[in-house]
Amino acid sequence: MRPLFCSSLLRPALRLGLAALVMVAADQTAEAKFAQTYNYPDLKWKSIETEHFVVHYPVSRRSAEDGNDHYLSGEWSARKIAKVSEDMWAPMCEEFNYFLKEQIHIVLLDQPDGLEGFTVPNFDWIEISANPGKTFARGRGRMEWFSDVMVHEFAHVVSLKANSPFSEAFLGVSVGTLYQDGIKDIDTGVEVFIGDNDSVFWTEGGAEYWSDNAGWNWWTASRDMNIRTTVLDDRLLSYDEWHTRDGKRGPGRWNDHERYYQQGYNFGLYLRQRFGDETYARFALESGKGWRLQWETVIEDVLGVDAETLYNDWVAYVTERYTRQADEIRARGLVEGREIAGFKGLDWEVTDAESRDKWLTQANDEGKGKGRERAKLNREIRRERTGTWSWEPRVSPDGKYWASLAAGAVSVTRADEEMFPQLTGVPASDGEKLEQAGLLSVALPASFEHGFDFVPGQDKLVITASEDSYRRAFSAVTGIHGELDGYDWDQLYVADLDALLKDKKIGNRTVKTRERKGLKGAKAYREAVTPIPNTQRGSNPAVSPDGNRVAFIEYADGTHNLALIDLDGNNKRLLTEWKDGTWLQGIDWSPDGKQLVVAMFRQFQQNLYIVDVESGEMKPLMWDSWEEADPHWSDDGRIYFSADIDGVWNIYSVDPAQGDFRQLTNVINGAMSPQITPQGNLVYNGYTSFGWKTYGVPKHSFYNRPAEHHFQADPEPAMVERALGTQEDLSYFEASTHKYRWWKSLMAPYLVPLVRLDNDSKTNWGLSAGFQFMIQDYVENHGVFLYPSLGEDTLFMGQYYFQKWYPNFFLTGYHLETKYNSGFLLDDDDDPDTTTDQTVWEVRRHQSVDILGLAIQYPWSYALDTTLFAQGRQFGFKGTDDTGFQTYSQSLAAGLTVNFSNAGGATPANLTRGRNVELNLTHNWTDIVYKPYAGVAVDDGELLDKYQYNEAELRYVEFMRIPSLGSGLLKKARDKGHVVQLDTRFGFIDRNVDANNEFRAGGQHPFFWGYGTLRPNTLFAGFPPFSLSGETMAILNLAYRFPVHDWHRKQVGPLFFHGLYAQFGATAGNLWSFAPPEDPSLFYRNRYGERVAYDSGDIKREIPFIDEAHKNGNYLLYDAMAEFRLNATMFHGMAWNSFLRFAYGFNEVRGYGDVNGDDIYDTSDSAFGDELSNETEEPGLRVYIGLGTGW
Amino acid sequence: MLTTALTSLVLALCAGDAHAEGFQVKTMRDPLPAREYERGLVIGKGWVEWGFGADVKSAKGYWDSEGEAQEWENARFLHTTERLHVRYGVTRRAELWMKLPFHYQSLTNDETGADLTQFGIGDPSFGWKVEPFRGMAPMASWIVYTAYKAPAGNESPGSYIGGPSTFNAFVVSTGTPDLSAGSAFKQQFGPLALTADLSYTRRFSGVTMWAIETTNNQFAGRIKPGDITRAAVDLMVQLGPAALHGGVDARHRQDFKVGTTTDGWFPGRNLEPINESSGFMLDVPAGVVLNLTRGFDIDLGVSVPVVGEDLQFFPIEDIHPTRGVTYSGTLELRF
Repeated sequence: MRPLFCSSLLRPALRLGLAALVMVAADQTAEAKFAQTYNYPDLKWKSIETEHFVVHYPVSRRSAEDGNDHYLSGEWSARKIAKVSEDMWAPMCEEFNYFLKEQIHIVLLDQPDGLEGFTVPNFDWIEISANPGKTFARGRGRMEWFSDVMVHEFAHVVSLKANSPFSEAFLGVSVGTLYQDGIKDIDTGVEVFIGDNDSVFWTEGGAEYWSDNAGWNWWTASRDMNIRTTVLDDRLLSYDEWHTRDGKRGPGRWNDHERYYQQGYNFGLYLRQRFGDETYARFALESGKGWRLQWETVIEDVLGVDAETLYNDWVAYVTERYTRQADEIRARGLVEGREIAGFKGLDWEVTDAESRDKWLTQANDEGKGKGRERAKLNREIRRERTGTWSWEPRVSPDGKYWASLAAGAVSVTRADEEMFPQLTGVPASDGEKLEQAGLLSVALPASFEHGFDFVPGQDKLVITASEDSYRRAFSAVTGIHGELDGYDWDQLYVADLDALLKDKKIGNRTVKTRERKGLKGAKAYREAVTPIPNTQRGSNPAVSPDGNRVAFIEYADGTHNLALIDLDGNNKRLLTEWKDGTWLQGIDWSPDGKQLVVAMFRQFQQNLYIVDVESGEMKPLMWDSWEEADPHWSDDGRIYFSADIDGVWNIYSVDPAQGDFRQLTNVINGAMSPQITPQGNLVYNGYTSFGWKTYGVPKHSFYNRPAEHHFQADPEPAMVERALGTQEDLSYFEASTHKYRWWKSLMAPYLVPLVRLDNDSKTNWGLSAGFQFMIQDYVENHGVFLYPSLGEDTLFMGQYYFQKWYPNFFLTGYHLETKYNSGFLLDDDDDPDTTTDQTVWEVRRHQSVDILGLAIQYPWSYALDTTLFAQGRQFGFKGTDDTGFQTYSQSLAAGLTVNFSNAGGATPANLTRGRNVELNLTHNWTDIVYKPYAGVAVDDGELLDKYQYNEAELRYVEFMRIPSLGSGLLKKARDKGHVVQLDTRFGFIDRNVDANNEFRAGGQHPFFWGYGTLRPNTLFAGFPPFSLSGETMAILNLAYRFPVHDWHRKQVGPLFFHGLYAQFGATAGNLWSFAPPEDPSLFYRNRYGERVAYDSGDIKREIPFIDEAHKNGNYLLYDAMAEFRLNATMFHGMAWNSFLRFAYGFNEVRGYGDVNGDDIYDTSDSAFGDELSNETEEPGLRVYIGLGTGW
Repeated sequence: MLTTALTSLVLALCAGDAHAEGFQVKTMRDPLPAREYERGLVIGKGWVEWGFGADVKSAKGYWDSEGEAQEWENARFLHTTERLHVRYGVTRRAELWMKLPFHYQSLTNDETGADLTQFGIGDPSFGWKVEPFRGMAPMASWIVYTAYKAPAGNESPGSYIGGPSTFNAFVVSTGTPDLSAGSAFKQQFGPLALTADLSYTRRFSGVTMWAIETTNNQFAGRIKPGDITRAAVDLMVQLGPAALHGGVDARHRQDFKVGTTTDGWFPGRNLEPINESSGFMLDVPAGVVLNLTRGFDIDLGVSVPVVGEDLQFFPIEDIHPTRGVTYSGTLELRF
């Protein structure tokens, strides 16, 4: 019989130690800011305190006059928010008869240029941006950002507080279990998170509806456009779909996110008609009475009609309504042109029975065997493939280029007007021109919906792009980008198309092309697209007819102003100096260059204005209750624009001198952003339920009906003067403004109880309960996170984070005590083949891990961050004869971690692109201090006492759709989302170290670490957890993953099933260590019979792939794995992702300690018959089941 | 955790209704009566209660298996519990609670010269209370509850040779978990309130460090403490801010079992009972709750053991407690 051996004794400690290390490493930087990646130490924060709100806003410490290129002040915006918040407090609280006692904190962001608005009601926290960007107005039809966003977010605060049966700090309770059966090799994990739940149509649509009820927001033509097109194209979210927020992802689902806002809002209006104003609010009050498995049952409890019946009634109601509206529009004569996408007609442009059958057949074929729904989805996917965000169609003055603004780029196409069959009626056939279109077209990175314009007479454009859009070649190609100050504001650039030209060989011809790829391409872009100085936070450029000046919109503090600047950045001049939330939208020059036309919204009035370039004098073109936008001043002297007359967006024109308004389109969907081509045709931005598209209408087809009666062209001058001359006085907030005080701005803390049952032996319990607690200040400068968990295992974890300077600082402390039972197999004859003399005896252990760490993390970009860390660790244990914990080892580590992640895809179950790279470089000091071993341990034949070592570990994961390689089958698979995933892990430690410091590998259930971690749980899933160890590691896993079924949000009780995916993969690699000497003259045997080298230099480092890894007895290890992944949510949005994984390890592995994972330490000599191992795990199947545990 | 709790309390005390801090009063919070006799048995939605308390017992003897009070000749044993508890009103009718005890113990024996002291964590417990019924004016509250006690405390005697004269560390945990289920009812009658409580505690078997098999290599043995049935009655009278109360607390304990583990889901099924290890205990507790403010109470109490029937698993208080009067004091803060 072998005596207890230290590595057996410590193996569970090692396991827990590793767990602790990983958890702490992960947690050290876990508390990133909610809405901002960067800390912006150049800003100071101020607070406005009102009766019911506190508004925190940023102001730059250094002024613009002192050379601050990124000067900002959110003062006016904050005051405006304070004003509208107080105005809406009473009406909103009254809707629910829920009058808040608590003050609500609003954090204003003005650091980024994008839209932001979110609420965490439990924290009494609203965060919004001063700058809404532009998509908001386009989608919702209004530009009254501050009141609209505030009333929406505040509606969330009141409604969700009233709706919740739980105490507000209680975000929910997590109940989870992991049972690891090391004998059957089946690991099963289950987790359920029980929290608040509510259907998203009610949450988001309700926030819009209550805004309307409270008098701040209303149903607009843009919202109507959304629902109308959705209804008429049969794309309404189904009953199951509109309950869950779990991002409507994937092809064929464009804009579903917006649909649940608008459908929910519309449903509220429908309920208002049937049951009264307060119906939506009554749902909240009913829900607040007690938690329920399915929130939607409140509808029947309140109204006596079940939710699905009401949904069906509403569908019938909107279908009838919009069908009737469409019929009326058709009756007046439809003029909507055709979608322009490429140079030929589109499959769905059905003109007769034959073409209709062809279109339907094609789509049906793609969904063969999948039924009607699949065929319908296929048709939707096809229609979305022509682009979903094609905005602002423009034609260059010379007619050579067509362009539109897609998401993230200005797409410039070299094409003559005659090439578009939508305008000519004839498909393009000129091969040379088609080739030119291919070679000379280009996509220029640009900001989303922030405008561009051609420079007349030159092959140039002025575009809006962010500061970092045209980065150095390396950054552009790799996506690795460093950002020091955190600012990435929009500005104007001049893009020289000719500078992008290069020669290209096609056969024996040399042609010009603008195709640019790789490093050279990125360099060319950087040289061809140059910023216009002094245009920061500028957008919507309009270039003067002489090509010398640019009119643009300049943003500051929630307000737009009209600016002029020369193309070279000189002679900047502001034509307006609003500081009151005025919002400008589109600009264009008069043909003579003396005037501008601009769309302006201020003080709830949105119209077009003519502005004199020299004097800055403004005069409205009309003054009415419609919304006019997107003005384009054509060379024919007429101004073309869009307006929502009678609730439908159409294109109109007016001669500003004559005032003769005319309607040019009569569409069912929506028409915006017009431009007249050099040949007099119309292109516009057409809204469809399949995306924003470019549409074209030949000039001979214009609707061309008089429209003077819709517009009030002669407003009373005194009224206009009064309106333009009045700015709201909010200076009285000065008295209630003070410096931000974080200790007076502590967020309401949250508390999530967690109950876990971790059991791997049946004979001892592993039940523990605790809670996660977090509190931070609203600007997120300081925070504390605590996680105590009590039970047989006792954990105290605490973290303080400081996020006020450039990097984030995390100080983490961690104390874990764990008790566990394990068995020892005693073998009287030391022969494992005779089992009758074997008995198993139990021991009880008590171990501890203490960790203290400091991490300094800097986020270089959204994808890249680095962390410097230092960590001290101590492992200890206690046995029956110990009066306290005996320290086994103490260690220190310091190092650097680099994380890069740009992996993405339609669903987390099937990431389809990008990569994750994690590099750790660490220097370590370890001291084995356990006295019974004289302060030394034996590992690989070397006596280890105090030592230092360096460690490098790289994990690289690449996700990619499978290449089509010219194969139709592969292309089909690629289109369906088939993915290849390469997962590699390499590690190197520069000396022999104690087993506790070695790399470890082996299959592990993901719930071992906690929900949904990205720890390696598929690499070597065919081998027992932690069964492989060594100082050199090389593992490569290749997996093939594909969707099996898409339920489109199928609801079953509280569960929502989204998609099922399958994955097959295999792993190869090994972990190599150091081997003790084999020459008897070089070693002696200690009291445990271990070989110990006289001279440490005689232990030999194993060479990867050449030497057998003596610790597991293999040169290379192989496994294969098959897995199903279920993408699901529970309770309307809590992730409940599940999996079933089978893995087969092809090798027998051996080792010392509990290698086979049965928690019984075999103390007999193993079948290998040497002192290097005591247990083996035969090749075999391992099963992992995770219900709600992530993957 | 103690530091955190104290910090939270300081913050809570600093927080006033007019200030916008993390602990400001929230609309959703249930009303809580100012006086103890009117309060239900769950704390109410949105309330958090932190309790800091201590129990002190100076024992000079024990109950023997015949129920006779026995005195030690020279030994004195001081057993104290310093405890932190948290009650959290998750919903109007449900409460989550946790209790974290620490123990300071000392044993002196003039004859043997023993002088042993120890401080360390005890066995924490946590559970849920759910209130299916609540009546108002007069208040009536019926709850059902569960509790889990986890064996986190020290279970190592510091020596393989057991017994009162040889251990050199106090064992403060059985090393085994308990699961309790019970029900309590509180009814107000004018200024009086009567509370009755009935529960059953299943004490599971487990391998412990302090039970050693001696025939084979001194591996750990398996024990199972006896299950406990408990009944308690308490009568309270409210006199201004002071609520005086007293009652009886009776417990019956089944046999203690010991042996080795068997395979399968019921590893303790072959354990053997120890003769006369079952018993009956009755204590008489009394005390006063001072309702200083709605958010601050002081709870003082005393518990006198009247009947006991034990084997002396000294000094494992969690199995067979020593005999002595226990004095208690608790500060309860809620926000």
